[in-house]
Amino acid sequence: MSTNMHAHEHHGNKLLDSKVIFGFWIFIMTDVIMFAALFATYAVLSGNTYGNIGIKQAASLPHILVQTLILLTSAFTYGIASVNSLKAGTNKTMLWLGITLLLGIAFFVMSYQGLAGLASSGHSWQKSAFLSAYFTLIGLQAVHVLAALVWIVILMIQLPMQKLTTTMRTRLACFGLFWDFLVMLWLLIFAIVYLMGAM
Amino acid sequence: MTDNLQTIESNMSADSLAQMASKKMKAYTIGFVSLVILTLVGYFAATSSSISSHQLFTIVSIVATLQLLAIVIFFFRSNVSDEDAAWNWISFVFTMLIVAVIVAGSLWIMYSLNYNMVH
Repeated sequence: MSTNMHAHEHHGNKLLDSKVIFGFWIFIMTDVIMFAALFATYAVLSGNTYGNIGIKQAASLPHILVQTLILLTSAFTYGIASVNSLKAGTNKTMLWLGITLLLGIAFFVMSYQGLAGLASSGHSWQKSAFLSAYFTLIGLQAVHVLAALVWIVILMIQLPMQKLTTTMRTRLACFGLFWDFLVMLWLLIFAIVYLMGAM
Repeated sequence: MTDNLQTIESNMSADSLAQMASKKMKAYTIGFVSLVILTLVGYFAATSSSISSHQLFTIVSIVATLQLLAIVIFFFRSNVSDEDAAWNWISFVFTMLIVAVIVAGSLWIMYSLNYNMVH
């Protein structure tokens, strides 16, 4: 009872807890810096194939395009979930979060298949500097996506229990920032690694 | 609907909330459509045989820059709060400065290193 009153005092009349969201934004900015270092590493090492395959053989562009479109659609379905969390209530938010989860799983499976296929056909990260940089960059993005998928599942367990409170909306908004960040990373990978690699 | 009203009725009317929701929906829709179009432009430029590698580099650079702008404007901005907009912006600009130093610096150093090893 007393904890309820306490929570109500602090969050009762706010839509979101903006301090939490700002803190999470700072975390994303630090993650951006880490990926900048990985992109720089990739750009430096992308030509050093040591007699093994280069980027043109490492991935097929149509496969990558499908992945990109799936991820973009998932960012949009999250947007619909987020809009529904403002007006329509728990059930619709859950539905669109579920669709986002399924699209995210599809993206992760395609990423995993690409990397696992390379490793099992004799082009693992140990074979050349290019493959080391490639596996690190793509693999770390995929690990981030996996973490985000676990996060959606947790949100979908919490949401029916807690309903759309300030705390739950804030969690949804933080997740949205993270998901948009992952889409941004992937679009940069799509342009710098795959499209420029096709030259 | 009732769980919504519990938390926000005190200082936000249902009207302003609905307005916020439709603004957000519009931003996400514009962002999604423009990102898909830009992705397809980049893809078809990369797979077309009539575009030289120099032209492709230019096209992909422009497409990637526009995509970054679209994500920041239509996706990020509709999720960060207005209260902290200035702080969000300052931390973002600072991060971009660090990113530019890391990426441009690495490429510059490694290029010079290669050049001086060969010449």
